[in-house]
Amino acid sequence: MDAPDTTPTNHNQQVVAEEGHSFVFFSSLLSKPVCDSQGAPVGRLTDLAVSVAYMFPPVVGFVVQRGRLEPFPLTGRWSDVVDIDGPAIRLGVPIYALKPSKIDAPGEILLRETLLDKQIVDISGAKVVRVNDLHFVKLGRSDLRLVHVDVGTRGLARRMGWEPIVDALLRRVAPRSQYLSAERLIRWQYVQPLSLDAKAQSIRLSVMQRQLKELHPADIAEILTDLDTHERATMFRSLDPETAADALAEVEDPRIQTQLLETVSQEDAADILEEMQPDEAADLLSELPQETSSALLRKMEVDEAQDVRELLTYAPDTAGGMMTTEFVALPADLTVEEAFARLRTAAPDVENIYYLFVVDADQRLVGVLNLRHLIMASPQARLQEIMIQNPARVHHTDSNDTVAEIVEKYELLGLPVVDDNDVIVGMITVDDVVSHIASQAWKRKLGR
Amino acid sequence: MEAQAGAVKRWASQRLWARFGAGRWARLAVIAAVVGPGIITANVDNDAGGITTYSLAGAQFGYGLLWTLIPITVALVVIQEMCSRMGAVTGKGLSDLIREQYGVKATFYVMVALLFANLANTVAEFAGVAAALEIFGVTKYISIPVAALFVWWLIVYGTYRRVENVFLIACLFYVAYVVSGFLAHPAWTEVLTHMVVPKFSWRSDYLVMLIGVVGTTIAPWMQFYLQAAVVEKGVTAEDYRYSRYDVIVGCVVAVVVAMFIMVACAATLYQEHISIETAKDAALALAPLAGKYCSGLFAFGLFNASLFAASVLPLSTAYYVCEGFGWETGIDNKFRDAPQFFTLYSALIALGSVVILIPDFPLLAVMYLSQVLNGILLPFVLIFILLLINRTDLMGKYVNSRTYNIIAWSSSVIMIVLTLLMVGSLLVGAG
Repeated sequence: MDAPDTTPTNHNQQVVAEEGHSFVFFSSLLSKPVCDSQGAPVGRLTDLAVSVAYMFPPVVGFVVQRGRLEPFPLTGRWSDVVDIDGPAIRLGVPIYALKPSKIDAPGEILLRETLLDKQIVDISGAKVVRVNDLHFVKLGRSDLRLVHVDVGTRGLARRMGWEPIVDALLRRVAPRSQYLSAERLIRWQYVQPLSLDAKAQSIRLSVMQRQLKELHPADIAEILTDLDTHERATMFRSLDPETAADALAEVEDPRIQTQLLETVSQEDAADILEEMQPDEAADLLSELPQETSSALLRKMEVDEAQDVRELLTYAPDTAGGMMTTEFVALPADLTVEEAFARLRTAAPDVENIYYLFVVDADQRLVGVLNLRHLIMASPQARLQEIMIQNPARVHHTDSNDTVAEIVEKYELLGLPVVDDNDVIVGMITVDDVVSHIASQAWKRKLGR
Repeated sequence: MEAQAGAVKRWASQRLWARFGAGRWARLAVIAAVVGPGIITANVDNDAGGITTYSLAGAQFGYGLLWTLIPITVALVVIQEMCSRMGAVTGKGLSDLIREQYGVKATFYVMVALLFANLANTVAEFAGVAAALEIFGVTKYISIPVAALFVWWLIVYGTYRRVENVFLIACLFYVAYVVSGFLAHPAWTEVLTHMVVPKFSWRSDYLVMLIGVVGTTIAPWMQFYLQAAVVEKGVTAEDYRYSRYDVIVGCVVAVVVAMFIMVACAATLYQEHISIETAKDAALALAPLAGKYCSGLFAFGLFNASLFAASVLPLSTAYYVCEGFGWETGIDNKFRDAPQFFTLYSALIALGSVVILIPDFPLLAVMYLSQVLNGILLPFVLIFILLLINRTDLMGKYVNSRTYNIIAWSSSVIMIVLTLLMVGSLLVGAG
């Protein structure tokens, strides 16, 4: 059953029953009477426990409420259940084998308490949704595995006990309605629960990390924005620093960005900032109070902090505030072959290596190259022979609008930023310009 | 691990202070960042129905019911404060919490009842808009479509922040009632005496009015709206103490406005023994007694309050119904992303306004129905609130203290009893 996902093209294709297997909904088991091996009534089923360590979590325990007046429910192991199909769930053990204890083994979660009616993240659709029902596959007589969560309207109708009525009604008035043909089931692999305790969360997360990594950071950012403050914090804390940094950079609302960073400890916040592009880190830090941002800078690696500090000295609405200090500058007298060697060592640390700047001995900007020029040129050619001379540039005090204008006019993907002596101090990439325009629009939308 | 969590908490709690510095102005800035939900909710409570009730109370019994306003303020503050605290601490709306803790069935019945009660309330608000503008000579066939379009446009093309600002401005216009209260030249010493010295009567019409005044104070939808607004505003448990000021100021302002409405009618209509049926009657009857400005301000107040409530009610209803069922919500979304939310919202406005334009529509019956549904729902909502706020797994150290619980339970029980009596008297009166 724990087969790897064989449908990479359709992430959320539903598991189809094989021969001898059938599906069971949680709602059809809840409140079902339970009787023991002697046939004596025990009470009604109120909850099931599953082990989240498996890809398709098996049901391992159950909770029975004896009567309305009995304060403590009884719990038992699911392996003692012999039949679930009859009018009552039948146990293979007598009633005194059940214990009035709580289920809190590591990695076991109670479904009703932690999943049913709660919000989850649907990773396949990158959305926050509410769980209406749970869907098990039944193997043999009573072996249940959790395969889907139901987030559709049909699940709601089923919980109300109205599924047959609503079905019959809709077949008559709207036989082609989506409700009848499409179940909104999400495969368990793509479900990120939000209300697990720390222990179950960490076990679940080790299974989840891979799926989360598959998501585009922009999708993670969107999910984070949709969540409420507490769940936002839970989810953000569960991300590794690299994913967290990418997602944080994609969050559009600066208010939510700072709020997210404040949900982790200062050490973790510093790690996340290190993973971010220096210009993005600087933007974020400039939104924080002075004391906090300097405390975070002190906790960051010296090199990374230095880059960010430099950027923070530039006014936020100038070219200096917009640029990144991660760029490749090569001496003009280098050969193409030597340039490639340099690039190989620089590339892992620098995001954008498609635009290369050529500088003289005093670090003054003399030309630009793109990767294509470099690849097409003969290995022995010197950079000054193949570079484009006298490229467009901006001074670090130039305004954002000037930058946008120049980038648009020359259709540049990367724009060098220089100081008073024409020494290159940073570069602006086209995505910085786009996000500047986007955040302008965002701020207007917020009415600030 | 625990030490780390502690560090995170300390850091977060310094946040607002650090951002604004530490002086007196800084404190004001922090308050400004959380203010809004409480003031808006309490003021919307003075809607078309509320204004009618207070006008009738003043016209029929003079200053005789003024003493109820102080206990009403206490009950209002206590109940609103709990919702606001729950929103800040759990980060979830009330319908979210009911769904998560009490399951689908409880949520479904509460939501369906709220949906109908609020639809009926929306009708009442649009009726208020029509009545107020008729005083200024605008026919309802113009005023209603324009008002409905304005309300719809405000949300569909607005953002949360802008909408909140519009609502806060609407709160300012309630000052119209304060001015009209002064223009009516009441006997201030008498007003003050009646505020603090209860003057009770066992006459049945007095009792019915007393129940009406109390019953109109707390409507179930307010609790949902307030909590959702606190969550949307992003108030956290650490900043919560400032939200408390928001609630208290809102409730006091709302009750002061109610007082001036009663006083204006008491000083004029009651003195001259003029009997009225509606808030519109009150505004018209004020003109010969207190001058056309007083009458105009009274009518303008009614218009503002009705339009304000007509904007808030459909919005908040769409919000918590969608939240409870797990559908996408939010003003900042596009229609495509939150179809149920916008459909519900638009349908409430369309139905609520079209009904007014149908000739011979039994408007009074609808208003009775809305009051009855509100009254039946209130006990459930208050009990849900009291149960939820005392859950340590949700609220941690922010659960009610014992003294607070005694006050909260007794005001809730009194509210519930009086509301049920009101429902009873409405049913008897209607039958």
